[in-house]
Amino acid sequence: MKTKVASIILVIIFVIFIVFPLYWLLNTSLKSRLEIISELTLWPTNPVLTNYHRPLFEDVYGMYIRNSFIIAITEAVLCIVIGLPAAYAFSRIKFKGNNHLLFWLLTNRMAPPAAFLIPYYVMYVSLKLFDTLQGLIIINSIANLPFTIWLLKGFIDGIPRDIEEAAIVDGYSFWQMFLRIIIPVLKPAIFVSGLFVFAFTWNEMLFASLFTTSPSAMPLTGGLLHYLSQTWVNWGEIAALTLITMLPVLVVVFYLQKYLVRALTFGAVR
Amino acid sequence: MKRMVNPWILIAPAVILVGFNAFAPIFYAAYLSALKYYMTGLPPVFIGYDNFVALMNDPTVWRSLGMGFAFTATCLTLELSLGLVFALILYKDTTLNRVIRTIITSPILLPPLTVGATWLLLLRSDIGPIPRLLSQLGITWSIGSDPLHAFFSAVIMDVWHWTPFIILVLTAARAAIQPELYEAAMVDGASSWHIFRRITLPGLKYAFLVVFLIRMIDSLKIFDEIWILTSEGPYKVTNFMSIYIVKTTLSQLNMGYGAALSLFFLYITLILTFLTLKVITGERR
Repeated sequence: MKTKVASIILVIIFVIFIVFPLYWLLNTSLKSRLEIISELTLWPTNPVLTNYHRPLFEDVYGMYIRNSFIIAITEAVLCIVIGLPAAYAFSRIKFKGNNHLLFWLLTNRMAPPAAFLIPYYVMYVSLKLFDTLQGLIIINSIANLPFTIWLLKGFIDGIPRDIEEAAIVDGYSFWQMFLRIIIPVLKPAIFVSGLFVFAFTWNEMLFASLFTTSPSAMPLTGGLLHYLSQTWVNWGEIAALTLITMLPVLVVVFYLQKYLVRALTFGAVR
Repeated sequence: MKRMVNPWILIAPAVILVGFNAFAPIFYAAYLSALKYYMTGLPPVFIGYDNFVALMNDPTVWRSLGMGFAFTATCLTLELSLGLVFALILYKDTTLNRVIRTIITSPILLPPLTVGATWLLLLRSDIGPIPRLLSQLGITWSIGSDPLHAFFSAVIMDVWHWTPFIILVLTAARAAIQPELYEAAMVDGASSWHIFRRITLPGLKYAFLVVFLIRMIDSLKIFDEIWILTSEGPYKVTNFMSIYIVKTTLSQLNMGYGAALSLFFLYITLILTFLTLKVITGERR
């Protein structure tokens, strides 16, 4: 009984610890500039929406949001289109060096982005990819493509081979079988992988903030960082912009809850 | 099934794209690291491996690495012990537990930048509720001037961000232990400590190891959240390797030395990654 009460109290404290920062963010975003610096209040005395006005309507942030969506969605599609056939090959076909190649692909997922900053910078300037949406899409794929291949391979491993063999016996060519059998069966897995890639790309900040300068290419994370780096800031607008930057991922994470463990432990724990 | 298609056709686009992304920068960084090269307009000078000699003699490098490992050790100790406690409380598949698990899932995928911004709002001494409440109790909490405060602010932020993930992993591992093992132990009249030692802990060992290794690498290369919250921090207490590399590049424009630092850091994480992937790919199949 005693341990039961203790566990309930512990869980309550922990849930408050997790929820409070997000609540405080919302609270701050609804406060006037004066209230933020004057007193501590758990709910704004006069809730205002003005902090959302500039991020959403007045400034270049609309462009940043658009850029983030373009980059993240294109990245997700690119990783699926290129990653799915590769995942199929790694799952179904034994060929020389397959395990080493998969291993090497995965190491790229774990490499620290900061270590690539200098060479990418010089390369991207000379390749005219600096300050472009395409440039960020290519950079993001170094981590996301290996991730997609590994995740999809795990899903393909789980499909029985019989249906493919039956299709081949029925006279399907490989690509007919791939398009008409494999892809329909994998639809949910493809969607889940795509959402993960969307989230990872949406979240990327280092290259987003340093490799873009103009509003036509800078994603939202870059915009938020630049706003934060100003010497004179309105913390209410920071809170609003931070919430806006979180929102798509916060929606996605609840849908992905079932797959989080599998995806973030490389399938080691399910 | 006989081979219907050449596997290399299927994997070539992926290998080319990742290969371009991975090898070109590494070789280019190797080239840059042999130069004395500031992005200030002066022509680069070839200096061989002098940058690496300088790196070995640079106290900031060793301090950055040391602080990185100290940060990682502190975070992992807290996250793994909290994760274990809450996984054992929350593993049963009841509606309430599922609701709680859903709520605490929220920080896991958030953009690290927004995690840093959120905790900056909480911990800044001028507007943050935590320092302001503490100051009413007569305690000063200043992430801008006290190195210990900066360090532990970063730790609390990381615990908030990643403990939920560890809870989910250990919950999954705990739920996968066969209930028969516990029933048999109960019949034999084993003490609950004995059951924990002999059944629960061994059952969680593999998940624990995997999550430990993955979190260790992630935490060593941490950048976004720290960059916002404390940057290099007072007395460079949170000047972890990624921060040091970016600072060297951006503020000193020291490309040659920055490239040498990058390669050095890349090798360290590659060794740890190699170890991690061996564990993950080796034990499952």
